[in-house]
Amino acid sequence: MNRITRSYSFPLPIRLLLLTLAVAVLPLLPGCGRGQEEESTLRIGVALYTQDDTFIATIAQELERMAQEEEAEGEIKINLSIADGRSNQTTQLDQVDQFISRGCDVMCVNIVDRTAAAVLIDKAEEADIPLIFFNRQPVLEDIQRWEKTYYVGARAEEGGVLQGQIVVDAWLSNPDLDRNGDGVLQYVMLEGEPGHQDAMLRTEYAVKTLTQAGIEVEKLVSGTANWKRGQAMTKTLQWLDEFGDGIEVVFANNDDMALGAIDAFLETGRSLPLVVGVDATTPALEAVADGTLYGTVHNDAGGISRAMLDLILALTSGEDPAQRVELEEEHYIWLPYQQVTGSNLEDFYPGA
Amino acid sequence: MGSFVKGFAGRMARRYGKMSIQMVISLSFTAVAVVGMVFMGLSLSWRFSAGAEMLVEDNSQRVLSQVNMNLDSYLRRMMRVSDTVYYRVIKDADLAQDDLMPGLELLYEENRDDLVSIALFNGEGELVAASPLSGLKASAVPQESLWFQAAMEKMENLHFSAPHIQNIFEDPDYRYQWVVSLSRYVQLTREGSTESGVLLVDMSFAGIEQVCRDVELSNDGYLYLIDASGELIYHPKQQLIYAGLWEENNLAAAGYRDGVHGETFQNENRQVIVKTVGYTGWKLVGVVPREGLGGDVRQTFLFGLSLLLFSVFLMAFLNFRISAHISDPIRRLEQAIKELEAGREDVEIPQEGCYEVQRLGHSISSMVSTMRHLMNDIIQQERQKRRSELEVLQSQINPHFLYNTLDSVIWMTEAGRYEEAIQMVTSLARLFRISLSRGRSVIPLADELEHARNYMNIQQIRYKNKFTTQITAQPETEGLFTLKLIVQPILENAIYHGMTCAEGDGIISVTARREGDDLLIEVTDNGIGMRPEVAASLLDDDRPDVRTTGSGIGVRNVHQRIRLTFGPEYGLTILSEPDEGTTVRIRLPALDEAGVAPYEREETP
Amino acid sequence: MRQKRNVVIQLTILVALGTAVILTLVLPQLTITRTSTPPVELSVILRDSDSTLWSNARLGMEQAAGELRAELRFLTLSSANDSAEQADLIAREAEGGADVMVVVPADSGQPLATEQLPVVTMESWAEGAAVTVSPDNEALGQELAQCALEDWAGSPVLLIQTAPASAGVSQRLAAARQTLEEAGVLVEAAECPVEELVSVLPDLLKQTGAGQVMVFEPAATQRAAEYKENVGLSQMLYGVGVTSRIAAYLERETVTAVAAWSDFAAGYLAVEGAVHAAQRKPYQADPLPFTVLRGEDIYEPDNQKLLFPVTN
Repeated sequence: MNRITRSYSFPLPIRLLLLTLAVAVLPLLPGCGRGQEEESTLRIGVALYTQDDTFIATIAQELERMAQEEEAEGEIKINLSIADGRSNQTTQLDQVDQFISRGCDVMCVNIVDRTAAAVLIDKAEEADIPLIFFNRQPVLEDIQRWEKTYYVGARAEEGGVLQGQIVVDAWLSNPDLDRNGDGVLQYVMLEGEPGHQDAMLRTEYAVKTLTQAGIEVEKLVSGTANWKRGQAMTKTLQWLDEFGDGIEVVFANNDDMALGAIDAFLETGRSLPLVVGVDATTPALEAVADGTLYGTVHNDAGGISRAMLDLILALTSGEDPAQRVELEEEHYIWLPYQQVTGSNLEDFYPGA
Repeated sequence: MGSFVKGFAGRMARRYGKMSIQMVISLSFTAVAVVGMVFMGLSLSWRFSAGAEMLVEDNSQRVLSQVNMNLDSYLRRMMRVSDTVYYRVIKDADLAQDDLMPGLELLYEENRDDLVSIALFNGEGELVAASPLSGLKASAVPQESLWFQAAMEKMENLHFSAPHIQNIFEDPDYRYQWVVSLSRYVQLTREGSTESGVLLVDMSFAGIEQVCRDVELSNDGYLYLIDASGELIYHPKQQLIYAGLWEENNLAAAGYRDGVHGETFQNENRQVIVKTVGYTGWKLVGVVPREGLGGDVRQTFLFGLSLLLFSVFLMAFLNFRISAHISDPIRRLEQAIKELEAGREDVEIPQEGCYEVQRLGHSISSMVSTMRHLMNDIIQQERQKRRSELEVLQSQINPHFLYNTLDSVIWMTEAGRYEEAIQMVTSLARLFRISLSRGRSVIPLADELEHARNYMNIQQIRYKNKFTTQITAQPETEGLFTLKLIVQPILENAIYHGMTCAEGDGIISVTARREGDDLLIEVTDNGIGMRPEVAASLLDDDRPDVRTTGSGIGVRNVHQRIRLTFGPEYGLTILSEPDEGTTVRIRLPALDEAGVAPYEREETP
Repeated sequence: MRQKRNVVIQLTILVALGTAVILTLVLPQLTITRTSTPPVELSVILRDSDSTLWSNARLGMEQAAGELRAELRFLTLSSANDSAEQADLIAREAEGGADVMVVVPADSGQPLATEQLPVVTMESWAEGAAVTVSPDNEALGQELAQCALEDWAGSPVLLIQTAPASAGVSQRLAAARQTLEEAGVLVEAAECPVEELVSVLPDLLKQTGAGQVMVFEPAATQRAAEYKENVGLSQMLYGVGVTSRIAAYLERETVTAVAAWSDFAAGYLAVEGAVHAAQRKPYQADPLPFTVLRGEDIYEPDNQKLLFPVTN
């Protein structure tokens, strides 16, 4: 007690410690970075406009199969997430958002409304995720928005030309096709979804090919069946009421619609005219084998899937994609169409 | 209870009383701060959570109104389609001549995203026209469907069905779509006559879903849609509910009125907001779990707590510092005062710390110095008082002696013994001169002895040489000083007590000698003496004044004077034996010229 | 001494407060990191080559995966019921870092070769399965047979085994056979792979003279129905499972009756069970409820809800 103590005051080191502790803790508040997980998995988001479309479903299945094969060969692990846009652009945008938030490495989009591509591209660019459109082609202006935007598909006009060619060949070689014998080819046209580039170009070029071949044509009627078999059948039934046997050729923008037309003819019991489709889906090839469908144009679903997968692998391994796939104008991969008729069916449908 | 509180309060007060100022300040400040902050935190959080609930409620209501509006406009659009089909396509057409298909197709294409089909049936349930599909399933019996019957029953209204699978049209793609059917009674014209029919507009489920989906309610809340009977129309987990893997309180919700309700469903307390959609009787139900309302309550709580704790930490730290700043100088002051109390003289009073404490230190130090001054004054006064008392005593001796001496002189003069009278008066004069010694109290030993000699001369004359006197001083005592008038009272005593009764020749000797640093003056007589204990008691302060013939007081007075002046180790010693004589030994410090000064000064302030 | 004690008390208080501050700051971080565990990697391996048969189940799986933070990989075999390929796939997935698997076993007798990797099976139990999601296969076979008995007109009933290695399918068949035999019906049994069903069926029908045909898996049902429709067979067909095609056949009465359950629920429960298994949490899977449906029943509100997924 007699000692005069300089009482309360912490030793300096302790005071410093307390202070630094107090200061050091504050910046801890916001979350600390998430541990990086090992990145051996390649995540691919695939957005389809609708799974109901046979051709699109085929592409998706092919892609899945090829990814599985690719996995079996190499060390890479591929996670495919496939989303069905159910013909709704808003739904598809949500799905793409989900892909982005899930950390996809690449996105493949079969866009519902090809005029809405800009939004998607902006989203992808913001997240820096390469974007591959397929089958449904956005306009050039949109594709050029960002260098990592690609399009994989077939040239629609080529499909039209080949479809037209099939009809030209058939028409020239088989005079019986001219049912009323007037030398004019009366046709009906089943068109795909309004606004779809394939629908417009195929329609345009199929007929153009005919006229260029010097065949006189008469369009009885054309109508849109939204790529769907059921709607095509309904349309055709109406047309049959109207024109009966006057229809000499049925052009369909895709196989589903061609099959719908055939359904209509079979249901009414009328004799089948020349029906041609595009895509060469499995049911269509069966129909070619049956002889109900005269011919179709092989839209290479497998090729599209292969090209997409190659492009994806090139993009994610950091290679220059142009080295691995044939890239036109830095954005486009074009796949060839091929004619399929009874004569070369074997090449496409080994089961026949 | 009351007594307990009182006891507790008392204990606290006692404890509080015992605590150091630092503890009191820091603890009470900290306690007040903590209480204040906790109170603030609690009231804030209470306000916050109450506000949050209100906010959530408001938000949900707003969201629901928005959805309601969207749904309403969606349904209106569908009704408009139905209206358009009826009034623009069907009303004016005669079924026998006109084709309804282009009109139906146009309207279907226009609303392709929201519609599954548009179909027209006659009263018997036969298909009149349809888009986009027109092939009826073999098993389809439209007239037995609920939508058909509802339309036929209430012909003035539009009817919305519960969700069901569209099962009328043959679809080669094997698609089974969920639809909500909008049906109405229509009038068909065939060849001029009218008949009844039913117009069916199948809305795709996606349309309704799109309106209700992506609705964000707080706290992972969600929204579902039921019809008037509680049948689910839309639910974010619809398929799970259909598959029996999830449950919803939809049947109970059908009974709720519009507004906010609380319900407990599957042990979950939740806020339910109900809004009825116009015309259809459908109900939009928003569900917000109450648990953890207002965001991540735990996070917020922890953050608030840590803020609170941090401020308490800071407060405590500051309080400790402040209280130390206040109390430390006080404590040092206390320490200094304690030392003062203990009698140390050279204590420095610290003057530091806060202004008030500084002032306090300053005051105390000035008080201490004032006190010292006062104390010195008191000592001076006391001394002076003592001295004056002594002087009184001194002066008490003189008149008595003077009277006796003068009496003797008178007597001698009368007897004509002039020689002796002259000698006596001369001695008296010298005696007085030395007594006065110009007011000094310390005089040379020689003067004192001279004084004693003169006194003895007078006494010898008075007592007719009944005794002889020897006064001797050792040579080493030369130049020493002594208190004045210390030998004379002892001589006086010796004469009175020792000689007056003694027979034969008395001898009184005075010797001065030096012993170390002390000067000893011994007065020895060979008178009757006394017992040693009596001798010892003579100097006792407590002894009552026994005024015997002479004055014992005189001896004691001398003793006291010496002790007062030089200290207790000095003074008188009386050695006596009855019938042997008495020796009084005076012990004084051996003071030379220089040593005298302090005593002189003290005597003359 | 008192001074010292005060300092100690104050220091203790300050240190305690400081610790509390730090603790409250750090605690949320700990809980955050706990919740942000990586998603469960889940591989689904079917025994069919056609994944469309499982599209409803897949919807349920995706829903569950979304809710329970799982990442799905959907794998099919290149030819149906190839147990060797399936074993390969399982091994590869285990190696590839899957946390858990959902397997439709091609060969129930063959133990699932996975060390420490939990496996949830669908359709039939297999050795090593943590959870099995399936209807009660025996009850299913019995009820389907019961249904066939109602239509029985005296001719033999042909039971076709298309996946002999699958315990689930075998159980259904055995139970149906027992029920039929107990009722005194002449039962003819045959075995053939799904792919060859169409080519074998005409001969079988001719040989046995059967009036009713029963198959016990969706793939077989679909094929048999397709064949029946194409060729115009008169025999009554009983099957298992509801895909949208089977629903259409039911509606057209190509298929007389099927035993059906909600594939959506099956898929959902399988993934739920798998995620629980991956997190080492207990999970109890009750047998899936099933119903035997005839064509006229499928639009009953409850059946609609069960059979046709509302995709959202």
